[in-house]
Parts: sequence; C-alpha cells; structure tokens
Amino acid sequence: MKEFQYFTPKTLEQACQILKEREGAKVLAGGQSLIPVMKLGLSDISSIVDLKKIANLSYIRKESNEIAIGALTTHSEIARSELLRSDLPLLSETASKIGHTQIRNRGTIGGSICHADPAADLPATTLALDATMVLQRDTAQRKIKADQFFKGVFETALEKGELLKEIRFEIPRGSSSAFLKLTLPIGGFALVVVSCLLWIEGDDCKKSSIAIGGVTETPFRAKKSEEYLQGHKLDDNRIASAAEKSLDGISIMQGLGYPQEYVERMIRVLTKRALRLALTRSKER
Amino acid sequence: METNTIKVSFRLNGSETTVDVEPSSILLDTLRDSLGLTGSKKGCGEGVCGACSVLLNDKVVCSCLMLTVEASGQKITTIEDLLDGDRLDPLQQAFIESDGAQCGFCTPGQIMSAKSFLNELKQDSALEVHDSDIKEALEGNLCRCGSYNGIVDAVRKVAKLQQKI
Repeated sequence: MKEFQYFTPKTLEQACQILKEREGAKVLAGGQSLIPVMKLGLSDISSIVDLKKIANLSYIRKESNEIAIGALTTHSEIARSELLRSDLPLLSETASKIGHTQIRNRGTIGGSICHADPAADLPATTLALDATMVLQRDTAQRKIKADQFFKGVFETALEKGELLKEIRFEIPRGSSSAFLKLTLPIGGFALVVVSCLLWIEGDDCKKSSIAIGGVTETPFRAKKSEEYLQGHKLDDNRIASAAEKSLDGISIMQGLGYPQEYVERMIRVLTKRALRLALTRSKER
Repeated sequence: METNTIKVSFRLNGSETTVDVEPSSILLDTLRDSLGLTGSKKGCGEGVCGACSVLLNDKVVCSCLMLTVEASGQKITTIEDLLDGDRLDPLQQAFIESDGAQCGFCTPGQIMSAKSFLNELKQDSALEVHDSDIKEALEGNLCRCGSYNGIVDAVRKVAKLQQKI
C-alpha cells in the first residue's frame, strides 16, 4: 500500500480543516470499504483523516417523530437496536444484511453512504425512507435529502472539506417494510437490492416507497410501480403488475456481469417478493 | 514523501503492547510478523474469508481490514489468548470433540467468531440459540475443507452449556 499521512482529529472542525487543506485526503470511518480499495492500489490517497477519535458521532436517538443516527454508528449497532427494530425496522433489517458479522462490527452508516457504491445496501434504504443527511463544514451545517445526496458511482453531494455528521429519518408511522437483496454468490456484493415501505389503510394502499439499488449509478425510486399501487387494494395480481412496471423509464447499467434480460427479470422478481413481504407484515401489525 | 512512523499502544491479550509502525501497516501483519502471533491467518487479505478474525473490544473483526494505528487505545484479543497455560478454552475443546477442523487454517478465525457470538449471548442467558443463529454469526468465516457441520456442533455445544439449556 502506498504510504500516507495519518491524522486523528479530536473535533469535526479539525477534520474539516485537514480535508480542506490537503489534496488527496480521504476520510476513514470503519475502513471496510476504504481499506480494500487502498490495498488494491486503486486509489491515490496521500492523507487519511480517521474520525474515530471524535466524540459523539455514534448514537441512535429518537427526537419526537424523527430518529437521528450518528455517522459513525456501526451496522451491528443499527441491526441490534431495539428502538430501530420497533420504529424503523427497514433500516435495522438492511443493516443486518450488510456483508457479514465482521464487516458489520466495523462498517458505519456514514462510511457506507458517503462511499456511495452502487452495489451497497444502505443508499437504497435511505432513499426509500426519504432520509435527511446532515452535512458539516467547519461549524456550518446544511441538510440535504437522500434523493439529492447520491450523485453517481462513488459520488455524493459532499463538497471539499465537508463531512456527513448525522442521518435523520422521519418515523414512517403506519407502514410495513421489507428489504431484499440478490447476491451472487451469497454474501458478495449485491446485484440487486429492493427496499420498500407500504402504508396500508383498511384494505387500500395509501402510498408506497420502493427504492431499487445495485443496477443504476445511484439508487432510484420505482415511481411507476408506486403510482400503480396507490389507492388500490393490494392482491397478488396488483403486486405482480406493479413489479413489472419497476423499470419503466429506467435504463440499467451495462456490464453488471450478467445478461441484461436476467438482471431486469431479477429486479422485477425481487420487487414483487419485497412488496409481498411488506404486505404480509402489514397484516401482522 | 518522508517515512513517518507512529507509536501505537494497545491492550493485546491482556498486556499493554506498543509498536512503532508506518500508517499503512495492517494489523494482521503486525500481529503475525512483528509480534509473532501467527494464529491469525491471512486467507484473502480483503475481508471475505474471516481467517484473520480477532476480537476488537470483544467483538469479532477482520484484522486484515484494520490499520495497526486504528488499534491505538483499544483491546485486541487473538486466538493465542484462549489457551490458559495447559487448559484449553471450552470452545477449543468442543472443536476437537466435534471434529470442527480438518486442515486447521480457518479454525482460529472460526473460534474467534464463535467467541464473539458467545460473548453477546452471555448478555441474555434466557435466549434460545438455534443453529441458524450460529450460522449467521459465523457467515464471515469460510472453510474450504467443509468442516461446517463440526463447527456448528462445537459452537452449539458450548452455547448450550453457557445458556444452561
């Protein structure tokens, strides 16, 4: 591995300062994405800014009807949180399926989101949940929604010298959810991820949120599927038809390693299964 | 660029340890090459196989994905810590009895993952343990010899003793 300067700032402001001043500086959180990249010699990093000595970046807090999660909270902590399992199960379910145990004990929600790998799990879920990213530069903060945060492959709205501090979620009351992913082989990077929520009132689907990841540069909402479900009673036929519409208006990436027709079919299959699962769970509430 | 080394102090297998390393130094290499703790193995070097598994503050992680500098001020436990003089850890004993190893290469990593799983289990002694829980906990540890059944048997045995089921 190419040699680099290593910094352990004690405050976010210090971290921002270093990132602003140095060319080729990268943030280190859990390292489960960054270190493999560095070991493969795929990056030109001259400085590493390790955030782990900064206090108060790892937390899960309920603040009236919102949940705030610190950027350095690990996937394991999120998967295990009783609060999240009850109020934001889509997030804890997603986190519980990332990588494997060792990865989850180290990898962080902030690191995963800022890395913005198209094959990652959390970006799709933050999109489905319409999350708000809280960004900090020096002492100034700004907030940006998930659908504005992911810009491209490994590309986010973060500007130079800016850090992700916290991710906020409005508690999706009255919803049921499901997260499914297709990895080949099991435990590898995802080919397709589907992260969805259903709001069912009486017999009808009041609204839905279906986010799909792994097949486009950034995760996308399957708007045509959502429109098709809205206001209707959900049975197997309607769900299957909605899943067929998931790729309407969407072009998936080339070069995913499998035939395009196969990938497109898998997207529709996974969407159908996720919707079915969310519907079943809505009846169990 | 000038070579800068950093003094890194951490608690290793119960003792305070200090090493002087370059920032790019990987913890697994430090453990094996500088500290002579060759129990942790380099299987893939990219965090997929789990052969390098150690405990960081009692939770299992891949040491091949940690910079040595990240260990500063932390508690690291390797497989070498489980042997108490001549006495095998119950997990080690169970692995022998249940045929949990063939070539033995993945075994230290399997045992450290199991240790982490059992540590967490301790926090709720009423919790029932199913084989699916064990397999999920150990999904980050690959065994090319296919000793999985013996591994799960061994962990189940110790989990039952621990949970007093």
